[in-house]
Amino acid sequence: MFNRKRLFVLMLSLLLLSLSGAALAQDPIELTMWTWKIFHVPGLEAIAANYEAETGIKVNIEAYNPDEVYRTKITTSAQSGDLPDILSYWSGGQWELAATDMLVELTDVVDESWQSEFLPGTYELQSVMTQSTYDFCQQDADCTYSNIEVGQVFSVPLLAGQAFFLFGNKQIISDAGLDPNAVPATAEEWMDAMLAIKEATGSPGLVTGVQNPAVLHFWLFNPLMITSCGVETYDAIWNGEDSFTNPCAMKVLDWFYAMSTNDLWMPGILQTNIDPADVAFSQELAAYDLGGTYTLGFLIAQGMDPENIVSFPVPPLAGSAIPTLEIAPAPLIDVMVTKHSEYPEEALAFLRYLTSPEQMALFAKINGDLPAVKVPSDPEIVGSVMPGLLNAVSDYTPFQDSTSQQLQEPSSVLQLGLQQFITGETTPEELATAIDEANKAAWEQLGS
Amino acid sequence: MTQTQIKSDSVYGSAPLGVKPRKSVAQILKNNSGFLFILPALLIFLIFGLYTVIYSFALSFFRWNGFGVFTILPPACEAPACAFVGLRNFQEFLYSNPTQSQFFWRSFQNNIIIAVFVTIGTIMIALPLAMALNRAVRGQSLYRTLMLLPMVTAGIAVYYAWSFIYQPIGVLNSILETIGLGALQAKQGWLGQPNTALLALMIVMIWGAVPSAMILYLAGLQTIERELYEAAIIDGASAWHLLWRITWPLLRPITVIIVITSLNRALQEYEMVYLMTNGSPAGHTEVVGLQIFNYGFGDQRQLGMASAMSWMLFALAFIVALINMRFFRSKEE
Repeated sequence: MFNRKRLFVLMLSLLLLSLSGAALAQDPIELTMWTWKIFHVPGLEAIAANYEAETGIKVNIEAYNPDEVYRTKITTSAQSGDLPDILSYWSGGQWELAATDMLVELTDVVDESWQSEFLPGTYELQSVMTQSTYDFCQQDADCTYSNIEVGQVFSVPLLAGQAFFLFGNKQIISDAGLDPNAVPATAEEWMDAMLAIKEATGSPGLVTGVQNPAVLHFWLFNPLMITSCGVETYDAIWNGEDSFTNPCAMKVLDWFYAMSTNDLWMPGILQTNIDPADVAFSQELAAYDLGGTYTLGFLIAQGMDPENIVSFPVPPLAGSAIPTLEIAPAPLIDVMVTKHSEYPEEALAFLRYLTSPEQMALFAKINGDLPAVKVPSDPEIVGSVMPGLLNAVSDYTPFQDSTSQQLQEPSSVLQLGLQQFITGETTPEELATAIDEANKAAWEQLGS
Repeated sequence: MTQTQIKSDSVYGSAPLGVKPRKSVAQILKNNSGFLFILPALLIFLIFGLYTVIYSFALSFFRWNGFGVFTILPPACEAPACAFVGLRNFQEFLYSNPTQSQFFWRSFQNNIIIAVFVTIGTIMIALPLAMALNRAVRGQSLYRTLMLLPMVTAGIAVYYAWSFIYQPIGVLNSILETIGLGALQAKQGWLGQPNTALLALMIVMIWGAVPSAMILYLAGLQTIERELYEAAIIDGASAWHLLWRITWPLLRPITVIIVITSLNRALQEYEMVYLMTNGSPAGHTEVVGLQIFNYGFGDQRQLGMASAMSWMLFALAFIVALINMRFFRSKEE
């Protein structure tokens, strides 16, 4: 009887002890980060593994693709209150999220030491609300982030990059009897090279993701236009104070038109999107590929020999106001902490760790993509692709001086028109007039 | 007192005149069991059907980017992410914004072309196939299975397969080259040329729509009594007369269903266009559904505009369906 009573007391004590222990023990902290770039997951997971080894905090990387699915996922999760701790988003797009109180404010958190680690032209132009962005928003009655003040910060840049890069297949170029290492000084020289290649080898001149209407506009038209016209005239044309019939703009449209009349696009170009275009170039279906800092890694991943690729910035037209196009990386992806996070301090600490030069160097090495953080150019640290990219970009680009606002309507007309050059449905003169009309109407609707 | 009343009084007991007998809960449930059976479906419809329809209708009068607050129960729209704009969304794409309205009407024109030609093409292929299958021939079940393959094949696989067929170096161009018709090749690919892109898409749509139409026609053909044909043949009717005077009129109700569903599908089409051309070349295959998708889920994030376009598309589809029904009814009369 006595033994039975002792046994009962012992078991009761054990039970109480285990219950109190369970109450005292905390679940290990786990964070979640979302991205829409499946290609980036290995690099982010490597950094998360390092972070867990150092702090014991696990960070789960989740990817949702394609872009539309990711946007929808964020929209629905924002409504249901289950956003992840850390969110990656298109640079400049974070204002819409911040305006609805979804993000932790970082204005006083990103100190000078942290700021100094970002590439010039990234953090200070897109992660901070600038006066020009603020002014444009206040001017637009439909602006959805008019409650954000100048100087406020809600995100930091993670990845940078820039389009405006051309990649040439050295073998095809030399087969045409041209020097594969000679970089064309002007757009006309480049077109002559494409004509010579087509004549000698039958290879089409250029491939890029023309099916996406924005590609020709932002990757080729804008760099040719800003160099041809200079920043001031470029801004005046887009801002409705000058015309697309200005000779400097007409030269650009004429050049585009000549690309089609000379039949220099790869056959089926209007059916070709960005990744298939790079794949086609890697299969030697065209002599040149138009892309960006992110393209080279993809081409190498497709099996292209880096030694067989020559790369150079889009060459300006002869007689351009800016004779050489300098390319500075612009922020592409920002990262931010959401207010739905149960552990905002830990999430912020991970953000700091993620954007440190050491971890971003690791990311660059794994993914071959350009971080928005200054990383060393040692191939041992950042891999073989990165040093070339770092050398190709500078701290300055004329786009940094531009205050142009490219409204949706004229942009749509331009994008359609550049495709219509290929289908032979419009001429440079007709297109210039059509863009002017759309631009004028759009600015009038905006009230300025 | 009628026989029924006597019977009823004997069961429930007599009650004073003018006072209804009280019914038990079980009796009420039993009497309304039909409603109980449809209640789950009704609730699902009210929550996921009617509510979303009302929500999207209300949203069409607002500008909203999907973030922040927009609800109809209770009514709430929180600035700056959301703002009431009245009819502005409708006005912009219908007429007041020249660029937007130009894109909308061009897309709508493509929808109409698709609706007309896909519907006619589907009927013209499905009916002869159904008539052929209706005849007792050897291997009929095999033919039926083969004909139904497009119905059971996953859409995305079909679209990619057709995209490869239509490429500049695809199967179609290769066949034309092989049989000596190289001049007919589409050098930019069948989806890459303005004069062939929409036609190429419509062929895929017809290919996908024929099996279900054929099943409906086959079912209809099997209800037509053989004696009608035999009598007509005795009277000297030709094959054309049999088709035009017997088969076609008796299949009219089925044709109405096929026309309405085909028109409806064509007006709402977006998935195939998104996957195969994304509106290219130069907007020649742009449809309203694709515009709605881009406004709602693309980088523009204008859910109000997308809803307004959806409602306009619904209104247009509704009008087309009404005209269609009126047309067939007048034919019947």
